[in-house]
Amino acid sequence: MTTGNPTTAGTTVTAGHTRWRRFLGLLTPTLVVVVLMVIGVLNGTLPIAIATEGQQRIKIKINEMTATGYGAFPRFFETQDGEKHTVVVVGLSGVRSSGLCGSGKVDTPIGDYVLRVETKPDGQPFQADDVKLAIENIDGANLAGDTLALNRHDTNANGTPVDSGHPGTLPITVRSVLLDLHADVRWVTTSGLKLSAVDLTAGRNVRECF
Amino acid sequence: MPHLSLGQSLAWWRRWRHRRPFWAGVFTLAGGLTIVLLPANQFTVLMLPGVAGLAGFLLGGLITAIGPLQWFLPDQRILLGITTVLLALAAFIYTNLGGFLLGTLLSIIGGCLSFAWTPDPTPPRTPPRPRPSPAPRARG
Repeated sequence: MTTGNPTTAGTTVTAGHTRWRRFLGLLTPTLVVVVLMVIGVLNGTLPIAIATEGQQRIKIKINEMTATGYGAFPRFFETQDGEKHTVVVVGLSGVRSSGLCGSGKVDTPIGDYVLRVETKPDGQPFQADDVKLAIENIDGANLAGDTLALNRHDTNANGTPVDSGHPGTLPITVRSVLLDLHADVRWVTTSGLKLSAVDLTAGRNVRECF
Repeated sequence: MPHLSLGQSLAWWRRWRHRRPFWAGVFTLAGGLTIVLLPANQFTVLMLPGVAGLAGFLLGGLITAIGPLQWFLPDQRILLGITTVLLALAAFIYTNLGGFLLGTLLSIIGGCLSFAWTPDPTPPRTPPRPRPSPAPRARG
């Protein structure tokens, strides 16, 4: 039994065992780091990346925004469990906005987590060429504001509004709007995003926009 | 090809395990898979172009790959162990708390076991002495 030695590739490999003191020597400082990181996350001082599911509460506050809506169209979204969800994709293009604040609250196992995006008061306006939001359902939407103008982007010389959008699109002009949306948003994509003047904060002690 | 009886297979298997940080690889593999798979059936709310969705696959995949490496490159156990620990800590920050802490902890245990595994001093070669009866011994 002892002589039947199968060929082993490793030449220097012999039998070995675990040195538990050595094990603890690395494990102890590592666990200290882990505990510190957990404390940091619970305090909201350590930023983490989290992907989670469930109800999103999205609050958007806009002082001034212009955009072109190019449609809301149904699509399918398939989660990893193979379940298909119908979502409505809202497309906006040529978004320019100042005084924008958007925040989303996510329930996580360690408590509420808030992601907040805000343009700086004196910075450049937030710009994005193309924004798409896939919304599965909207539980509640509260809208309050001064001006919400659809397809009244331009007026001609004597003040008459003219249809200024490209065919099939809808120019949107918004001033001082609070939008409180409680919805399942499946995904958000943007392109041509200019984030130079945007504060992005996330954490447990971040306040929502309003 | 030698045909091994059950007893010989078990003996071969035991020898295979004892010549490498076996449990280190098991824990590292389990931790890496946890990090890859736990967030997989969920979806990202805000997709920023870049690392957000990739980090889980990148860090989890690297840790998963290191598990078998600890088996087949036992000479590199210290480097692999420390790398596993560092990747596990990074995974905690970048991917869903490292598989909701479980994957990070499993990987850290795997990395520390790999770091702590030490080959026994080589026995003197000259006399082909029979191995002493396999006394049960605390193994990692």
